[in-house]
This record gives sequence, C-alpha cells and structure tokens, in this order.
Amino acid sequence: MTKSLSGKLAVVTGASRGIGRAIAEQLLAQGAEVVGTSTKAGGDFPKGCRHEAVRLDDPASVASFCRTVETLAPHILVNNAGVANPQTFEAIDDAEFRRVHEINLMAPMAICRAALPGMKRHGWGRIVNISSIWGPMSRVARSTYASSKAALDGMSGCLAAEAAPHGVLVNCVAPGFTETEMIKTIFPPDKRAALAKSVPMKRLAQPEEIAKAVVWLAGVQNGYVTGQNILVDGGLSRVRET
Amino acid sequence: MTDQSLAGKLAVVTGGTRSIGRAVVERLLARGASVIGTGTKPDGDVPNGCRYAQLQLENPQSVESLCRVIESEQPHILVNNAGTSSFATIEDIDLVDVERIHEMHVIAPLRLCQAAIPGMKRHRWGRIVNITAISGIWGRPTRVNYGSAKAALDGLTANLAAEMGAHGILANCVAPGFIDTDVLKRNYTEAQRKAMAESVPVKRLGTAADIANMVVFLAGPENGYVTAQNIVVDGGFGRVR
Repeated sequence: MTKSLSGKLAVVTGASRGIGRAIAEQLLAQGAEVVGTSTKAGGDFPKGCRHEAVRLDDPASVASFCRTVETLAPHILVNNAGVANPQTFEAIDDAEFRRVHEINLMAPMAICRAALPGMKRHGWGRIVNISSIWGPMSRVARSTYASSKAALDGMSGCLAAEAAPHGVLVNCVAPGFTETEMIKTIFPPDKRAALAKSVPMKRLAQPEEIAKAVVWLAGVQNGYVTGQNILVDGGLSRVRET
Repeated sequence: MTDQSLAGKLAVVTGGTRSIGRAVVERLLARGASVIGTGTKPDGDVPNGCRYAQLQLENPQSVESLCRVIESEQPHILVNNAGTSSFATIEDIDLVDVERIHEMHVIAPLRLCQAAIPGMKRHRWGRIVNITAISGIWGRPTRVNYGSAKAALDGLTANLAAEMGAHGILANCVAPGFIDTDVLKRNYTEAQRKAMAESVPVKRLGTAADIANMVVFLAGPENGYVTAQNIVVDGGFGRVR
C-alpha cells in the first residue's frame, strides 16, 4: 500500500520531545520525509528523522534555518516549538516578553515566509501552527504566552487567506492540558491531577492525541479546512462544570 | 493492508443515501465498521454492505422507531447528518416551517443522541458527530430559520459533550461551508455556484469527501481528545473577508 505522505517533505520545529516528536513520528509512519529541529544538536529524534539545531530565540539562527527551508521547499510545515513562562501582568519583564514572542511568533512567521514560495511552486502545501487554548480562553499569569499564541492564530488566519488560491492550507491546533515536559515544569503532580479533573474528559491529553489532529490537517485528507484554530482540549474551553 | 480501525464498531448515519452522508457511510465501511444508513423513503439506495433504515426527521413517530433500533443495536458511532435547508427573510418566515426545521435539526438529533448514549456508556466508548452549518456561526440573509436550528444543534452538542466526557464519549459538530451537493445544484444556477466558489479563499466549492474525511476523523479512534467543538470545513470562507 502506498503511504499517503510518500514523496512529501515535512519540517517540524521542536521534534525531539513532546507533541513535536509525536508529530514527526506520525508523519514518518505515513511515509513523509521529516526534518525536525531542536535547540541543541543531536536531540532524541524519532528513527529516520533528519534534524537541525535551531535556536528560535536567536534571529541569526532562525535566519540561517530559513535559508535551509527555502532550499528544502517542504510540502508540510509544523511550527510546534514554543515556550511558556507564566508571569503575572505586573511582573512582566520586557526582555522576557520579547523573548517569548521571538520564539512563539517571530520565528514561526519567518519560517512560514521561507516555506511559502516552495509550497506555491508545488501548488500544494499544509502549514499547521501550534497555538494554545490560552487565546480563546484565559487564566492568570498567561498574558505573555497568550498574547504570543493569539497573535500566531491571527497571523495564520491571514496567511490562510493569502495562501488559499495556491493550494496551501493554513491552520492552528490549540492543545489543552497535555502530558509534556512543559506542563511538568509549570505544574507539580498534585496540581496536574487537579487540572485533569477540571477537564470534561477527566484526564490530560497524550502528545500523540494532539499529533493525530495536526497530522490530519497536514495530510491529503484535508482538502477544505483552512484558517481555523482547532481546539484539542478534551472539551475544556467550551465547557464550564460549575 | 486495508484499514480496519473501525472493525467491530457499529455506526448509524442519518441521510446515508447521497452526498455528504453517503460519503461518510462509504468511509466508515471502508474502515471495517458496520453501518446503518437512513433515507426518507421505505427503500433507499445506500452503499453496498450498508443496512438501510427509513427515517423521516420531521415525523416524530419515524424518529422514535429509529430510536428503538438504536437502543437495541447500541451503535458506537452516531452521525446526525440528514437535514434540509429553508430560506426566508425574517419577515416572511412561516412558523410552521420553523417548527419543521427545528424538529429535523434539533429535536430529532437530540432524540437519536438520547437513544444512543446508554449503549455508548456501556461500551465506555462513543463518538457523536452532528452536522451543523456555517449559517449557525456567521449570519447571512434568509438563513434565520436554518441558522438558528444549526446553532441550537451546536449548543446541544457542546452541552451533551460536557456530560459525556467522563464516559469516553466525544461529541462534536462539523460545519460545512458551500458544498457541491444536489441541494446546492437545486438551489443555485451554475453561474451562481461559480460566483460562490470564487468567494471562497481556496477558490472552489467543497466536496462531500472534504466533509466526510473530517467527520470520520472525529468519529474514529484517532480522535482521542477533541470534544464539544464545532469544526468549520469551509475553505476559509467564514474567517476571511
């Protein structure tokens, strides 16, 4: 059986762990060639995944990676890498605010811009940017992160409008609480149990579950979904249980 | 290797004889599910291997008789797809037609969900997908009746999802944009359909397959954590001006 992504090249940022690693694995399983990135060289990438070291908080590193992306001309781009660093509004540090936006917004923008000409040439492209539920919904101490992720969604909606006539579909996936290292650094175990209880499905997401939605949007089965921010959150954002 | 990821699962799809519903039935069958598809006539043309049941959504007795089938067969998957459109300006809307449209798009799907949920709870696994419409999200002239029914179906689904999350039952909607179906061909001239396609960012009308692929994703085991959503499949039409 021919795999549905045979002959397609995908770029996935932050592919050495968590959601990005699961995305790379599933793209590889569907026959795509995958180039993953991580901050340091030689991270723990899935078998068969090519990789590049890119520091998204360093514009020179991003610019150099963008030249690689221009040459690679991938069919699929997943901007997955990101940082969260909760700080209350009054405690916002300007430099940290800029750094988070550099990683979560500026770098994805630059990489999308580098990937678009190739996708237009192919007459086919799929971009999936990982946004966050902290955009459609909110929580204390999320202003820096939420602002970067809401901006990423706004950018993706507009890019979708410009790219659509060229066969390029652009969407976001907004994960809810997912069992990744990121959530472990933010919440201690007892807090994570309380988080799980607050979700209608009474559990956190596994990275693979977020990846399934991303890979669906990135594949040939998606012909008509564009400009959307798809929430994969176990019902959290839409349901209030008390 | 064929995809048998739905082997052992039973699905009920309302409106399984044509366009979106038929495409959903075909994909569910291709993945190994058993499927009951409905149509309005006593005998209907459903894809090979699909069982047929008659369902007239505007007729509560007919809905109840399908509820009995659902209660005894206990499907794992329910797709409320059947429906009809009705266009009139607010000043011209006939209340009888409001009742008919809401009976078909809200009351009947609610009853079918109610009939299916006990079985899904016993399976500790269920997937409900209700077909809404972009008219339930973005207002357009003459869509008051239809849009309000579809918005109600979305609200019904989100609230049902809130109750079902702990039971392994995920409930979502799919909101199609302009889809090139028989209904569209009946309601619009070719020139109008061409203009509609041009108004969509991807510059084409959607196909039944475009919608069915998303429905089947949400209805299958690869969906583990999407619930209470209304997923728009519209080529970017609603979000882009």
